[in-house]
Amino acid sequence: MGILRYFGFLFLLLLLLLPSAFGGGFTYDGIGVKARGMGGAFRAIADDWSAAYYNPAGYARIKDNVIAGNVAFFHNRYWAKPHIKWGDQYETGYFDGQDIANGHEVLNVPQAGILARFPVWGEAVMGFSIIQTFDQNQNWQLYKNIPAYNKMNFPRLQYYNNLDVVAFQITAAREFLDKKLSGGIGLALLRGDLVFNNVVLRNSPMSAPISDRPFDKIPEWYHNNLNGWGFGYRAGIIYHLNDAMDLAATYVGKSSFDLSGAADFKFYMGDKASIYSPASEEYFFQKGGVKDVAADVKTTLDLPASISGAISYKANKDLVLALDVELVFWSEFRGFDFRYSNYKGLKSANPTTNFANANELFTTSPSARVDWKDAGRLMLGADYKPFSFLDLRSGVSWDQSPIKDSTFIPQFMDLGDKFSYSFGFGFAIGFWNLDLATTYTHQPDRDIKDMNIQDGLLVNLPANYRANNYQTVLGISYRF
Amino acid sequence: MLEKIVILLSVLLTVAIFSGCSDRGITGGAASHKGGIVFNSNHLFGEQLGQSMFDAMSENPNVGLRVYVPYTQLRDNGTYMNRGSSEPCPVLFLLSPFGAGELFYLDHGLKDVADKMIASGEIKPMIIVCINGSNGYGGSFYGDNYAGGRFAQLIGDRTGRPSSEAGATLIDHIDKLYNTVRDPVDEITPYRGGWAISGVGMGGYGAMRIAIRYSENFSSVSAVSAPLDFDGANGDGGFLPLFQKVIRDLDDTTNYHDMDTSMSHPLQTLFFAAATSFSPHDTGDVDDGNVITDTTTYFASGAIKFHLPFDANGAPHEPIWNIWMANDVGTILNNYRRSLDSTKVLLIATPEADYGYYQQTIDFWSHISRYYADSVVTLSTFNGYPGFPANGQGYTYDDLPKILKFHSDNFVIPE
Repeated sequence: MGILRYFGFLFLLLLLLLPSAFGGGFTYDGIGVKARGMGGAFRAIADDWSAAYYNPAGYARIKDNVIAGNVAFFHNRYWAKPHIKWGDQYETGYFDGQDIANGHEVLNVPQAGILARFPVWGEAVMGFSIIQTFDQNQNWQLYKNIPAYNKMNFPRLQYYNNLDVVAFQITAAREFLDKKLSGGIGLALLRGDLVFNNVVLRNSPMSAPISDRPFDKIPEWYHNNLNGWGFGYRAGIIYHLNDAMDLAATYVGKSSFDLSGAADFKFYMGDKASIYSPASEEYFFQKGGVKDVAADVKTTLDLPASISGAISYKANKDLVLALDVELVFWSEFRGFDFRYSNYKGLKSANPTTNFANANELFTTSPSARVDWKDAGRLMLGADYKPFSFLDLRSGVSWDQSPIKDSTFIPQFMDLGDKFSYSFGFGFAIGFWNLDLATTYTHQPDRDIKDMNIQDGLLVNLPANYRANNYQTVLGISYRF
Repeated sequence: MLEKIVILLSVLLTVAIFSGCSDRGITGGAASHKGGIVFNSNHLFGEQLGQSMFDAMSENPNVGLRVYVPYTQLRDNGTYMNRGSSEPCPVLFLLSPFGAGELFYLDHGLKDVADKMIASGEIKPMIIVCINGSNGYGGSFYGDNYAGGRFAQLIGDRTGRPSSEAGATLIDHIDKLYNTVRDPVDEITPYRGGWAISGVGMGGYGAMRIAIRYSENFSSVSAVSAPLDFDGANGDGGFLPLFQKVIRDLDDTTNYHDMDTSMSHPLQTLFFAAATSFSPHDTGDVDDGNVITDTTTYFASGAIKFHLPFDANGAPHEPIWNIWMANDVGTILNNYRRSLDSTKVLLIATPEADYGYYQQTIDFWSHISRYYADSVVTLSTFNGYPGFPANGQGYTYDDLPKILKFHSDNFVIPE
């Protein structure tokens, strides 16, 4: 009867709080299967390897040496119904009115860590972990050349963003004040990888009639493949208030570092029947086909700082409740200011034409800058232990979106204030622990109506967006 | 109990991992459809153009033509099916604007627009004839005299002669070459309900002029931002304010009689072109009764001789201006009263049009609306989008669907 009551409690919690595994912005939070099962409300508990991420202070309270890992599988189910017309009436090539699903993939992210007690600085716990802290995987096909302009197809990865930030983190923690206070710090070497593709519609630099509709815009697809290294840190404390309650606070520092790599551009040229001299720039802009250009590229990746506070409450010997609040300073992320150099494939001048218009078009950076706001997050979780070998977990979170309509692009999908619902369990078998957590995130529909055009470029992508996220995390750990 | 818990958790694990895997339909793309084909059907019209003052035209009285044929008249391998092997289609003439030729509409997406609309059933399959109305100065204005070229007659008239015979017209030519709609009784005569005419700018003027003069051959007409009222609603608009502008735009070293046709002054060139069509200096060799003896606004460049309608002060020169006004479609409509009684008219105009063509179109609409009901005459206006004003012919691509739909809806095809 007691078990049924607690099952009922967990079930009701799920139903009532319906909609915490999807981080705002491009935070990746499939880290730590126990934390995921509790909806991310883990900063005041922080009693497994994933404390390296949630709160390094937690390491100080882990009595055993541990080696552990988890792998998260997730589906992002997104739809966009674009409504993009120049002047609200003229065809652009976007799939207006069509409900377009993103490219479907089951993604997986592995993470792992090891920690051990060392007789240094009194007695400290030190660990090393590999954690993916930020991630974004988006793949859309939302545009096709107007057939009268150019019938050539775009590459499959059209609007594409594969951003990964992996932290190779050393964590150290110890207890203070007669074990009332734990403190920890993590220092990380950050690896950033970014593949960012985009379509931009350039104003034709040519005059009429060459630039008459639908030749007024020249579609450009670009592909940037960059990577780089940087440093990051995070720190936290846990205060043991009494036998039932712990309080915690964490701070994650801002990290900025350069990524560099190679870029490819494809410019789809208008295809007309009228004939100009093949040596002329007019001919070049009307002969159709694709002009390929390549360059070296750099950008700066700004990863935001965050602060959080948390509390955990041990209701009885079997049930722990936790509440976390976090604020992420997303306003520090300004998108990508792509800086290109060492172009290859530009048009060479001939005796009659210098192709100034074409080369200016090819060398104008299509940066993807954004204007985001700081965003908060509230997480609530429970861990119930009906048997000595079993933990049942549940959690819910509410998570704000930092993205404003004015710079919303489908490469970053975060539609609004999200609710996530998590459920998980863990088996303890001797020195082993096997855990699973699954999370469903429901994002509100978002209808972006207004086109934001700056310097002739559309910097957002108006559409009616819908999204749901599914995430399952499997974990294993061994105590020694 | 443990067994039950394991079963329950196993089910939850399965559901968790496979949730979100259902089919979600399209991930992008547009349906493909069958398309028509464009033929080069250039043709010689020696009778109408052989006496042009432009040597290139008189020596080679060839009118550039591109003919779009819908997929319904094509075999699967893309070859054309002759009359009797496919359903006949109505015909739409599209007249080129000033400074453009027979490729103009194709360069503005005509084929793809027509393919898409026909495939979707939005419009009836139709044959679309793109006509080059240019002369040596960039535009014939589809006038009707031998010195400038009898474009109006060659496009609008129908003689029934074999297209290879002197005097045959474009309708004769197209009807001979393609599977057009014919009179269900005699099965020979082109059926009026299956013919329409349209154009942009100068082409719109030509379309309206021809539809009025040869209303027996066309059941619908449309014009986009066209010079349809030469002197405006009150007699002081239309082209008249542009005369002063031509004079003002002359640079310090250029006198009235030094003006030339270089396209660095497109308005000036436009008036020169119109003058070769409306007020050519016919010395009498052609013997069409249009001999002009006044020399006040006379210009000559080799064989090309004409009279401008305004003097060195930019004021209208009445003897010539009156000849121009005889070419005004309002005047022609007065001469051919009730000629639009059974013709559907669509006027499309943008306030951003060059040369005051918007107001000319609006004034003409006001004029004919007095005689014809809204159901006969339709006015549609549009604007460009910020950063891309609707001057020139920049929005023809966006006007074409309206034009094709209008004419499709107004073709009357016998059972």
